[in-house]
Amino acid sequence: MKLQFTIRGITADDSQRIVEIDAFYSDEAKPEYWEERLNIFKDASDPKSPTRGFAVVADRKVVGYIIAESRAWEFGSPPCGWIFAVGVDPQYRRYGVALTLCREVCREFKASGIRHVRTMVRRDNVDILSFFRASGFRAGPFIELELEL
Amino acid sequence: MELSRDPQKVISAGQIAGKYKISEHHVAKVLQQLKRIGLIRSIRGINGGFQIAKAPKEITVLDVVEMFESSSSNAPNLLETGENCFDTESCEIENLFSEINELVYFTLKSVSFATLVSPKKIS
Repeated sequence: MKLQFTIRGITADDSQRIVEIDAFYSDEAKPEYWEERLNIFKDASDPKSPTRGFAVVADRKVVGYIIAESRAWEFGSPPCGWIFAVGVDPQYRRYGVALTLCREVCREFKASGIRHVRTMVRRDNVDILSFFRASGFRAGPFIELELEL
Repeated sequence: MELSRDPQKVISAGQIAGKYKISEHHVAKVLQQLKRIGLIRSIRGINGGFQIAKAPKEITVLDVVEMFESSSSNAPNLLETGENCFDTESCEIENLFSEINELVYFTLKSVSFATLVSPKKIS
């Protein structure tokens, strides 16, 4: 079955739905974090902002979101895009919502001259790993390391 | 991969062997193993051969790799760790191999045959 949906720029007003969707996957509602994170989209018209955000709307509510940023020279890397949050309402999975969101953010990055998009995924999260791999993502040149303190 | 490209297609061991220039005997043995674990089915008859038995997106590379590994447990153990950790140093090596195993295991588990044979969805 096909889902009728539209995609638009994310707004600060989307925070409540994003908190709900994120809480489903992370088992923790983080309203303060998301409100602060989405503050940047109050001035959505700023074309110089390195942050990109889109929301998919279906049945008159936000059912998916993506937030990404272009960053330059972090860890010595030439400018690249970073997808740091993507989520889909579990009732709206398998309709291509996440793929639509990723395509849109990649299209914007490409239009601004960026040639690589990265993200970070838990290595044991097979569902999300499979999604990114099926979309064309592969292991990049960096490896993330951490130290327990 | 050959069978995943067209799930409806019936292909013989000889056709695969010819295409990749490898031993037909070897291909036939591998196909029999794949059949035994239910990933493909055999079709009898003059135009018989083998056909994929599941949707390619439901078969992961790990499914096939595990077929050739002695361990069939869910625990990642591709570098055979788990027996030699008896002091701090050996445990450090053990941890290193476990790290690599985990990475290999979840990478193979996250790649389906549909992903391998399909074009990139974003470009």
